[in-house]
Amino acid sequence: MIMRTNKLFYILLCSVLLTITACDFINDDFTKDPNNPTSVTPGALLTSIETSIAYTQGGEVSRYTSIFIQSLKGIGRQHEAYNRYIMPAETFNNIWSNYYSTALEDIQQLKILADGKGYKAYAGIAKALEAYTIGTMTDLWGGLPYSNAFKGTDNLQPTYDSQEEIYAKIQELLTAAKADLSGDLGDITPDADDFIYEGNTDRWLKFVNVLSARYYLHLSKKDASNAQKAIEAIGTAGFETTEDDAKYAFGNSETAANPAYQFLQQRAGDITYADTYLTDKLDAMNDPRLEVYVDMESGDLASFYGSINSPVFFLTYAEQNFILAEAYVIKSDLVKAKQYYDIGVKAAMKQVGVPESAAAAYPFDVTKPLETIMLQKYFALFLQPESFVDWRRTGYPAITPNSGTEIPRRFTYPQSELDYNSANVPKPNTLFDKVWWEQ
Amino acid sequence: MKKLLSFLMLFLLSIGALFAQDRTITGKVTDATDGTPIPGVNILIKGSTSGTTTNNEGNYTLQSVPSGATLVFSFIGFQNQEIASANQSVINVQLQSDTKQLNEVVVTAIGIERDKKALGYSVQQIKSDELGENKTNLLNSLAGKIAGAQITSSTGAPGASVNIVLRGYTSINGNNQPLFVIDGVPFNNDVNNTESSLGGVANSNRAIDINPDDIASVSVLKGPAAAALYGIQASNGAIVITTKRGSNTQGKVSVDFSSSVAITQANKFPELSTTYTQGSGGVYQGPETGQGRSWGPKISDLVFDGSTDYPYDKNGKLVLKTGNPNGKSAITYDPLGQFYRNGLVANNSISISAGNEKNSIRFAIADQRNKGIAPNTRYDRTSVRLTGDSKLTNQLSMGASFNYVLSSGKRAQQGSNTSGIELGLYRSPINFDNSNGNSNPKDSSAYYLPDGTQRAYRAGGIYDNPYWVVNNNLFEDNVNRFFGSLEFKYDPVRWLNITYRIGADAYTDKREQPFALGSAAYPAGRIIQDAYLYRHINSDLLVTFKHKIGDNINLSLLLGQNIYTRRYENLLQIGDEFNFPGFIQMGNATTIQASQYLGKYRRVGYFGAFNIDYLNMIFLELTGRADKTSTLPLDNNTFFYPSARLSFAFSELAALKDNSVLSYGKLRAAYAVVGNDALTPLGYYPLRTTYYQVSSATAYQIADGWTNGVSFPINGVSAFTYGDAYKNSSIKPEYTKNLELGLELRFLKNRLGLDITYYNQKSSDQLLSVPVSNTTGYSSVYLNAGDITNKGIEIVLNATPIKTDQFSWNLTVNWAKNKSMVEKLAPGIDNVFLNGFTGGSTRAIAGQPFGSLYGYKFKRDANGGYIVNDNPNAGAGVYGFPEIEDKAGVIGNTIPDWRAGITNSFTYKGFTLSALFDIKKGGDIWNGTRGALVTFGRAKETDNRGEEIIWQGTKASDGSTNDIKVPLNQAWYTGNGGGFGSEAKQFVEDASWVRLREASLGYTFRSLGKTPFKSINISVFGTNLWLHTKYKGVDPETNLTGAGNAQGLDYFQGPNTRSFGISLKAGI
Repeated sequence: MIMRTNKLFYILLCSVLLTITACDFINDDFTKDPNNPTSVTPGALLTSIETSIAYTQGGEVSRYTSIFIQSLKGIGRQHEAYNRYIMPAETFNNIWSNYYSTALEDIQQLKILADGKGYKAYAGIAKALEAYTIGTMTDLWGGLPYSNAFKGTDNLQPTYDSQEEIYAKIQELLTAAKADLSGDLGDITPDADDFIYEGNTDRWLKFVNVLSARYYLHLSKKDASNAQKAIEAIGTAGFETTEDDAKYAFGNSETAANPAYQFLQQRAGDITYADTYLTDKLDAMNDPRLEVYVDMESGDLASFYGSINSPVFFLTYAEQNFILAEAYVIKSDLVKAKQYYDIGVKAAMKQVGVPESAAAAYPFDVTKPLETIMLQKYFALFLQPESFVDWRRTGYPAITPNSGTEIPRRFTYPQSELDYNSANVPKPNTLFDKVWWEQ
Repeated sequence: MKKLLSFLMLFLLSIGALFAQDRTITGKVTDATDGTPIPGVNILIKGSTSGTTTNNEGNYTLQSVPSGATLVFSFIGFQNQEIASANQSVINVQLQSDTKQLNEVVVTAIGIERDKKALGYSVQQIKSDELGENKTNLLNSLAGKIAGAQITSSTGAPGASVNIVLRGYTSINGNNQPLFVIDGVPFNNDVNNTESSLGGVANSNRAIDINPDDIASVSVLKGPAAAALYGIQASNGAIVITTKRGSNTQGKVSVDFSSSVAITQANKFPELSTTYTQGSGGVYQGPETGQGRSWGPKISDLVFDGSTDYPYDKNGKLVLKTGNPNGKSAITYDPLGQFYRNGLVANNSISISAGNEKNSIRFAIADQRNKGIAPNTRYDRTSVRLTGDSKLTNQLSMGASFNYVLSSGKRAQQGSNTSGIELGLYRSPINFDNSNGNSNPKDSSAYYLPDGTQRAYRAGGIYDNPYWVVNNNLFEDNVNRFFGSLEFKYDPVRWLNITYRIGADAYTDKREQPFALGSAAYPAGRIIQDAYLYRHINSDLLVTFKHKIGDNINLSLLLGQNIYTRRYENLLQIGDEFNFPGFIQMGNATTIQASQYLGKYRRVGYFGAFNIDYLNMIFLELTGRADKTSTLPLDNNTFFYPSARLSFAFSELAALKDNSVLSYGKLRAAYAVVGNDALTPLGYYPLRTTYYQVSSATAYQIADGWTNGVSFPINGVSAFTYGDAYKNSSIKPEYTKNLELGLELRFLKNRLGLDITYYNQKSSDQLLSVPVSNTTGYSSVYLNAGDITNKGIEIVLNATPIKTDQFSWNLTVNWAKNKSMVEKLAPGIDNVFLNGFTGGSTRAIAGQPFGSLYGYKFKRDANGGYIVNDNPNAGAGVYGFPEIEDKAGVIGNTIPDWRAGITNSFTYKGFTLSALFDIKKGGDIWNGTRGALVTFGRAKETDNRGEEIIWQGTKASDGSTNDIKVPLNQAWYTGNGGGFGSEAKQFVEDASWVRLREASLGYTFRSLGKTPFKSINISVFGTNLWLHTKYKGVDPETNLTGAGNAQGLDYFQGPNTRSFGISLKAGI
């Protein structure tokens, strides 16, 4: 009797011990992430967007397109091979990922936030920057995933839109941006978080117009009527002085520094900006810009583009004028072409702080109008990927390959796309294929 | 009320017992074969839990023996004896040895001791005297001794991490290391990395805090079957460590002292040219030009010009001999031989223990000082330990252990890091003396020019001079760690045991990484302060019921509950841009970024194990466990997993029981399922995507893969970006299913033993961070996907070929083969990047074994020849040379074909000689170091520059036989013939090796009569004394990224080391 009671007692004791502890141990305290927010202000996103576009464009995009357009030479380590157009698909992984997973995804998040809360200014700027970004990207690669992109796990392998479709999207976005920026701007508007225009929506409206013109001009090779569309896009509502230049201002500390500066500091010996086609031409003309562009002794960038806080230019007054000049050449109106050409050359000088009088060295040559304009545009758009578009569209400047028989005409789709979205990557996919508007 | 009554009854009963006729019994226990006394024999009063043990002379005293009690005498290796005490007061016993039964006791994961015979799964045991003399990282002491364990040291730097995987990789993103358990409490073995694993220091895995001298034995439980009861952390097996504790020494104090010192040196360097100098196109270009490569003239063509003010060499500037025929010949420097020097490892420890039959205590203190082969680098460890065990009452006993470890290092950066040692050092040309003629490595004239800028082989601050690195930029880490446990065992009645154990493991790991002004990676200076605060608390409540049915069947049921709580915190502060030189501190920084991270985790588990033992011959165990964790969705966070194990000791069968040949034979089979939650693959908070501050502190800075990028806040403005890892709120646990079959045989009275295990394991629904197309808006997505299978065989052979009175020879061989296969990954994904570079990386690729090397390879024609470019306009280094495939693919595999360890030990009187040979067959390494050194003209194979060859194969345009003669020159080697070109396969090498991992010769003095010493041992020993391999780089036991899932990467990490030393051990 005692034994059985003992047994019972112990079994009871044990079960009590084991179940006493079945309380709720796992709750929100353990599952909710205390380290990162689930929602942020629109300004925080805008700054991230602008920075990623500027850093990517001023960094790798600028370096690779400058190799192609011969305003930069790769001389050390990997860049020596790049100089000879040996560029495996991984080379473009970073650029693609910065644009898609950072810049464009943050733009989608900002659009959702801004549209939801009626922050029209942010919505408009987001759309303008989206157009800018996919514009830059489509000119580099060709077709791009867009209408089926940004859907997360709902579509892990988005199909590619054709370049023609992307171009249509660009103009759509710009129209919508214009509408957003023209009405009631909403409760919260950008200010110091906008590193390009500090929230000045008038300037953003001008930006939208000039950008629209740029993309019409690109299509002029396919259909000359686009030249007129470009002119109309600008109309009387474009940039008015170099003060309106859209540029991202980098900071004064090493961790806020310009990408070209960072590369020259941290990867010294890989590239040089001296002894290139561009510097040779500037040197031959004794152009005062040479001094502020490139330090010919060290091969680094000089004060204007190579300082710690040098800006990265998105869209300039100089470019606007060259767009108009070229459009008028296409329309065979050389008078207007010259008019805008002259303003453009002066603007290019002013942009980098050089006396406008230096523009006198470059009179408009009516016997070869396009060549004249494109050469000046080449000088003015130093380090910008737009020069690579210009060369492909017009054939100027007249450069010859560093190696082999051809100069590349695009970036290849990155290794990450070949790895994770291979079924959809368009073919052919080499450095030397022409994009749609060039065919 | 009933409870109270029962309690009262118990109490009265025990009081009643006090008044019965008790007496004291004494006696002596000896070995029946030779009459020698046996210390430590257990004597139990049958039917109770009281008893005692014999002392060193074999004598015992047993008090309070009730009249009519039976005494049970038992000891490992001897047959039990039960003796009725009748009215005797002296009982002497002679025990018969029991060579047939293998009464080896093994400690399982929960701290439960099991008879090895009863185990249905594979366990290997390493005793403390088998651990060897390498006391820095416990894992190095296990290398070569455990069948199927792949133990890989990352580099020879002191304190470097060691990777351990038992039976192959089962988790793609998660942890594949086994669980470490010390005295029943889990022990953290994480590696914390302050900087990228591709270029930073070789951090330690936290098991380095274990002092091997404190270990009594290590049980290696391989695979899920062994660890099914322990839970999800043990899905890759468990390393169960039992530490030394006090014992019953009849009150005598025993002291053990050990001291050893060893010299270490680098054991293998990459093969470098000693012919060609700095320059390009055959033209000499000295350090002041910033030329990085060695495509200059032969050093025999150069002489010094005798100038005395040339800051790069005291002998003057180098010029061509042809113009200066009388100049002093240029000196061929040896950058690696001069920089790496002998290191020193000194170990000292002392332990004091004492005990009687009720209480025992042990105190130990140990210290290691490890000076590395790179000047000024070191790793030091001091550990203090106190354990106490007490029999509080006849039914209740308690044990406690407290350990405190101070573990610190001064380390140098390595890898793909312009501020690391090796990038600059390995690329240093033979015409440049990094030390500037100084023999003292601290002399600053080696690394500073007279103008205050850095003196290095490439002017312009491109790579730091290695002396700059070890004097200015050493990484310092300091770890304070406490771990301990408290355990209560209560046996209220014979058939019930209640054990409660609570343990804690806590450490703070504080690191500082300075970059002085002028450093290559951060010319404006940088200081990183990184602090890790970790603790976990583990509580186990175990209740065991035992029941006997008749004489032949023993049953037991174990029920348990486990609670594991962890808290991990990291504080990171980065200061950039110093205002002025010489003061590397946060206060001197112009920009400061800071970040914090807090991770909390909790897991509750309930488990049960049911055992049936029939005739001590057939053992069946069924287990089940349910875990609830905080990293699975709140509404679906519990999962259950069972296992079944069966063992059949067929040598117990009547027919085989007295067999003279077969002493022991057992068949085992086990099937187990282990679940795993998201903690190790996906982190603490895997359920919801969030925003991140744009800052290098969260690793979300905006950069481009070449530069440090931009971090916020800037001028008071913050930036946040949406996370690019898509987190999934509907993830499920991953499961590993394992089938294991084994056979154990012992022959000729244990003179020969064989243990064979076959296993087949499948891990499915892997929790993966799967990379996806960036066009989804993300870079990766968390989901359940992917299957990996692992199959293999492990064989352990033990033999004593010769055994005489004076001399014995023991041989242990272990051999294992593992075949893994990544069956599939996520839909549409055929490879997952583990780590590496764009040129060469380690990946998990569907349809391939785990750990494939990935990159581009040369195109081949149908006969295996090259397809050669025959376009004359293609340019130098391309025309006439092989073409490369358009798509990257598998270029090698890091998993070896098989691994073996052979230990021979010979004893003759007091001498012991032992040697461990470790063999690895197969397993590739991507030798990125050699690839880069080819591009730089420093690799020995580029001494053939200028030689002309015709690549064997066919022409690309028409398939005709290739006849184009081309020179193997700078254009080729700096293009696709070198590591910075596109082709990676030429730098993937077979990393097979045979090495003499450990060897020692020692003499033990015993019977020291009048002296207080029980024994003194003097040994000489060596590690890694001999290495045979075809690998062309450093020692192929290496990995740039350290412990982790990506192995097989060699890119400018430091060399491995060999050592020889002497040790002295004494016991009082």
